[in-house]
Amino acid sequence: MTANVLLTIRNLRTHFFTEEGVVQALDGVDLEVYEKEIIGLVGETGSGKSVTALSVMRLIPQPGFIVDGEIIFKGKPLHLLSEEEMRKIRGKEITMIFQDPMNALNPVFTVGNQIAETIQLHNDVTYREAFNQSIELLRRLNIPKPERIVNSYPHELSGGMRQRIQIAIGLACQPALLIADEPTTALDATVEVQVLELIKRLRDEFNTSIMLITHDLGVIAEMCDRVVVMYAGNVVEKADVKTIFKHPLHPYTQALLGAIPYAERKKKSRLTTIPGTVPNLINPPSGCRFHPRCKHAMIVCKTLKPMLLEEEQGHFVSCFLYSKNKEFAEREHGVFEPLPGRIVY
Amino acid sequence: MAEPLIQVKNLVKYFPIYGGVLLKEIGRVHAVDGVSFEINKQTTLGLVGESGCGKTTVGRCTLRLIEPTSGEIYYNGENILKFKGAQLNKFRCKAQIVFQNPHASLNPRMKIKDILSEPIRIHKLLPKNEIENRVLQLISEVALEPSHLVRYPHEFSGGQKQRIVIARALALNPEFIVLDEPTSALDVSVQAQILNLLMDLQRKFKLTYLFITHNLNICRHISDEIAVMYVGKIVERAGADELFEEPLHPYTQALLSANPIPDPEAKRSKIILTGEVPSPINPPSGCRFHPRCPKRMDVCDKSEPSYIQVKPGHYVACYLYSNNKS
Ligand SMILES: Nc1ncnc2c1ncn2[C@@H]1O[C@H](COP(=O)(O)OP(=O)(O)OP(=O)(O)O)[C@@H](O)[C@H]1O
Ligand SMILES: Nc1ncnc2c1ncn2[C@@H]1O[C@H](COP(=O)(O)OP(=O)(O)O)[C@@H](O)[C@H]1O
Ligand code: SF4
Ligand code: SF4
Ligand SMILES: [Mg+2]
Ligand SMILES: [Mg+2]
Repeated sequence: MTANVLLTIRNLRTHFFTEEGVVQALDGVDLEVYEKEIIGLVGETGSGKSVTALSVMRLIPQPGFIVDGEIIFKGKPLHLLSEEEMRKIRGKEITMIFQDPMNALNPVFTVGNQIAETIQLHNDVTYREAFNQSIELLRRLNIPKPERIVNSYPHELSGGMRQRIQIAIGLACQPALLIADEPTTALDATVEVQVLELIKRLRDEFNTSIMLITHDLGVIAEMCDRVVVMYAGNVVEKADVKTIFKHPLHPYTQALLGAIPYAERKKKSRLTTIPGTVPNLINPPSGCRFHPRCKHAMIVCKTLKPMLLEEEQGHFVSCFLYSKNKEFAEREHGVFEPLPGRIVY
Repeated sequence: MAEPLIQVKNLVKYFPIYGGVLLKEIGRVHAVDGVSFEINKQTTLGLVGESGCGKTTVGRCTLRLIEPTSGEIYYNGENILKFKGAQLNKFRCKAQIVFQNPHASLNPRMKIKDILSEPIRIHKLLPKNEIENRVLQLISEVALEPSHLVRYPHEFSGGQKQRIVIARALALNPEFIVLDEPTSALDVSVQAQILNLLMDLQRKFKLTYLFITHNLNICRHISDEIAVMYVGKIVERAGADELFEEPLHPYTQALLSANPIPDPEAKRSKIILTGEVPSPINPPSGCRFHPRCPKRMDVCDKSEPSYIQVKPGHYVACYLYSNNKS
């Protein structure tokens, strides 16, 4: 892909300073979003997907802070902007939609009112014009009976329709980047597919870049151009979608793909499992954070932290099994013997 | 020869809706509205459908945790709705349930060993001096450690809690277990551990499962047969592979096509339905799927298609497959 980079995240560390200790939620996240692409963030609970998104939006809840790294959007360092400057970007150039649309919608205003207000916030038009534009927007998004929908209140709509309205509001000022955090997780299958089609249209018709966060590898396979796999606050692998599914390199990605039951695979066959659970991020494992659960763990994995390096063209992986990290570990005198007590599975 | 352990005939369950100042009954939720199926011994029937279609209600009625409005439920040929006293007690040992949310299923103030021994004591299944051994055996069946027995539920992860819930269900040597979304609250890698465990236990203890899920991939993986529900009805039932390879009912076809496939090279042709699942309070007339059906015909909103066998072991309720279209 030779497209232009829209957003670059470098070595992002976001920590939460809680009473129990410092939760090292993001431990040096690296990723970029190109123009007009759908990039998927996938990983288990607590891997840092939402914190990454909230860091970009500069909406990290208390007691969280960006302690290191940079977030560059269209050349602007978001991590350095004042709240005032950030407000001009939020909802205009970057918008975020959430799993539960009720949080984003105001219950006491009609849908048309809310879309129109968003349009007016960023465009110099009258309320009437903005209201008409909101009907037009819903029509362009293939939402049935837009004239009626604009006059309804959020509670009068079904979950799937609310989610589509949230997307419409997010789109009202044609942002360059839309971040969608588990947008369809709460929806039924036949409604989920409607919303996913709508998200695809955004990219195809409005040229919006989309960062899609989900734990559903099926959704990733159907929607994304590129995929970022996260584990315990790190990006462990990054590549185009076909490479991730057909030729995964990181042991975590491989295990994750083996763990999903999927219709084409032989019935009642055993699934790959990953022993143990995701680590506590107040005292995360040293070195590679995956080492306590990795069947390939070596001594070096406990003593050194692997970096996200480009192993093949466009295919980045953070693991000492691969040449780039191996070279680095050899320079640091890492020991490649199996880690005593590593689990066989 | 396949022998049914469970036979459900014309199961109906309505929930009254109360309203007004006097809290009078103002309507009914048609949660389950005439459902029939069998589950053969040592097999798994997967029950799939979208939220609110009545899956949980079917599961609870089958165990008589709630009383059906009407219908018959046979367990080994005997109608459980007629069971009383000792007979009902015995059935309660043989038939168990595992729920979606393991956090809510475990009493936070009880140690694991008490959680596991409680059902054995209540049903007086074993003399006191044998209970401890049994509990040790149960905990190892679900691959947890004896040292876990003295701990409390909050000290465990979601997947470990679900193992404890499964161990408790096994305590009474059941034959039949209703698994209601047992992995929906779990992460993918932990979900795989639980699915493997359930398949192992089924083989080892010759268990029969009713597996309730909204996840089609899991359903096909674990089920021998699959029944698809839509607004209180089973619209189609077939062997798991047959249902996936040759879905007949237009709703099943749409549901399967909507299922995200974790393979970027898979061929896809999505059937995008309009609208959403209707409310079971006032279900649509005739075929309940007609307002969304891409293949609806004139007859479809007038009367209900009957649920018929169109091929050996393949049942469907749709006018496209019945001769009797009047
Ligand atoms: N105790 C109750 N009182 C009133 N309505 C009920 C009750 N239990 C269930 N229902 C209704 O019956 C219908 C079917 O419910 P059920 O819980 O069986 O659905 P389900 O398929 O299991 O859904 P989900 O996947 O969301 O759990 C729903 O409309 C539900 O709201
Ligand atoms: N408000 C908060 N306070 C403390 N820790 C938090 C907070 N929000 C998130 N975290 C921690 O940050 C890590 C990543 O969380 P998150 O990004 O929400 O994960 P997910 O990938 O499930 O979205 C987790 O360890 C989580 O416990
Ligand atoms: S760096 Fe070591 S522990 Fe980490 S994934 Fe690679 S082999 Fe496993
Ligand atoms: S009976 Fe008619 S409306 Fe119902 S599924 Fe069949 S064709 Fe569609
Ligand atoms: Mg999240
Ligand atoms: Mg349910």
